[in-house]
Amino acid sequence: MQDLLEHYLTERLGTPAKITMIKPLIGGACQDNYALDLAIGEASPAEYVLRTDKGKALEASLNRVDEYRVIEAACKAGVRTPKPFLLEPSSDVIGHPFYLMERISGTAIARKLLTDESLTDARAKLPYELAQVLARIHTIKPPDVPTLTDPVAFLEKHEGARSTKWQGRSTAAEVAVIDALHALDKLDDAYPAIELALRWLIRSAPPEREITLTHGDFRTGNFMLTPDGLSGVLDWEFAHFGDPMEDIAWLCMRDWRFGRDDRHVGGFADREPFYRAYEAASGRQVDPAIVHYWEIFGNLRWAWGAVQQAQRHLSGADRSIELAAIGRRVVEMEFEALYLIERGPILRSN
Amino acid sequence: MQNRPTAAELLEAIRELLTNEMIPTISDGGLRFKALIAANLLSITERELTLSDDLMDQELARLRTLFPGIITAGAPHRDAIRTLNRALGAYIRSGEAEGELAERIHAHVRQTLIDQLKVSNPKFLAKYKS
Repeated sequence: MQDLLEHYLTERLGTPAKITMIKPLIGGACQDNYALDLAIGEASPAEYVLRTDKGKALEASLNRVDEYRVIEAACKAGVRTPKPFLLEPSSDVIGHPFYLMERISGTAIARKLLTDESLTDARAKLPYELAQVLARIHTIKPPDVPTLTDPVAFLEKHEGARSTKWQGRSTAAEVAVIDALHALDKLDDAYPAIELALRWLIRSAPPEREITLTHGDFRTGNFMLTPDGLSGVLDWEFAHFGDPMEDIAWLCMRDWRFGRDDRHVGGFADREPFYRAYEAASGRQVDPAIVHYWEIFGNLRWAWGAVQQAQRHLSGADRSIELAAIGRRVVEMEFEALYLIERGPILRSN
Repeated sequence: MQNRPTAAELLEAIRELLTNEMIPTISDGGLRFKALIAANLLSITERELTLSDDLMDQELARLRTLFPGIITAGAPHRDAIRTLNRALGAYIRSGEAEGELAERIHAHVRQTLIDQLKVSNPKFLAKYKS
């Protein structure tokens, strides 16, 4: 692969390109990522990541081409994320589309991020830095990434999918529920708890709301932290247009607290300071009832995501004890969703 | 019927070997992590072998009360539960359940999740009691 890439890059950049190091990166269930050092022309080698599709991507995740466009838009909006550098949309070079992006330093490993003593100061700033990043992501509106469908356009295109019961209510929620039903119908077994929570989501959908770009997987484990602070947000494969509160709710979900259950925001902060920082940065109110709605939806999304992960093991597509184990974790997200429904909105002070 | 150790006791012996003697010698972090997952899956299976007969009896009894019209007599528990769960899923989705029936369905679903967690992750369940 190194020779193919060097040859390709030399031609594409019109100047000699030399790869001085390349090795696979661990992590990322749906992509193959490589760290590589690349010397372009006379310059000394710089650090990059090559991101490509692995076998079959997870359903609902973006392909590399759309992902590249999203990251471009995010960078333009001032989001702290590794800059993308070069996109190859065809499979001709290495068998899959791929792109390069800058390699940033820090750790994304949840346990380390939440407990490492060298990161204590960085953790204290994290809610504020993340609020800034989210506020910038949420400045991106549907026309800014033309390749990405927005929910309004989706519903107009699929008139049949639109329910009359939804008139005047959140189109982002309607599309989310349609997606959920679609995903559920593909599973072998019935999941009554997910169905029950979906009923609640259908009945309780909020009124029509603003639509922005959402990161879609904004959580502990997907941002890099150094002792100096946040170095960048990663993994845009689930980016979509939706309700900005969906990102806030996702970050607050129990599973992303990695055992630090009292710290509702990603296992490292309380809700109130984070909500306040986001409000200051975005000029948008955080309504706990709307976050509650999307937090229930988020747990469902992760529940059937976990079913799909286990399915990859069971089907033989990707045999792995980690994927097998995830199948027995589905019930945790189902239970949390039901608990949240029974409990009602969680006030800002947790 | 086999002699003791029972299946659960055999799994317990394997888990003890893994946890006490093998995992401490694994220096590769990735492999060590997978071995810890394996040990956890063994404890899930141990609990399942001990608890699941009773729990499935109860789940099936609740489902039959909710859907007396669906005949599943004679089918193995697992198949009967699967059939009734499909009916339950479809019924919930129809949105027809109201009032006292909706409450009974909610209570049943909740109890079933609790029973699943007793097997898969009792520590997770304990978080909600505090």
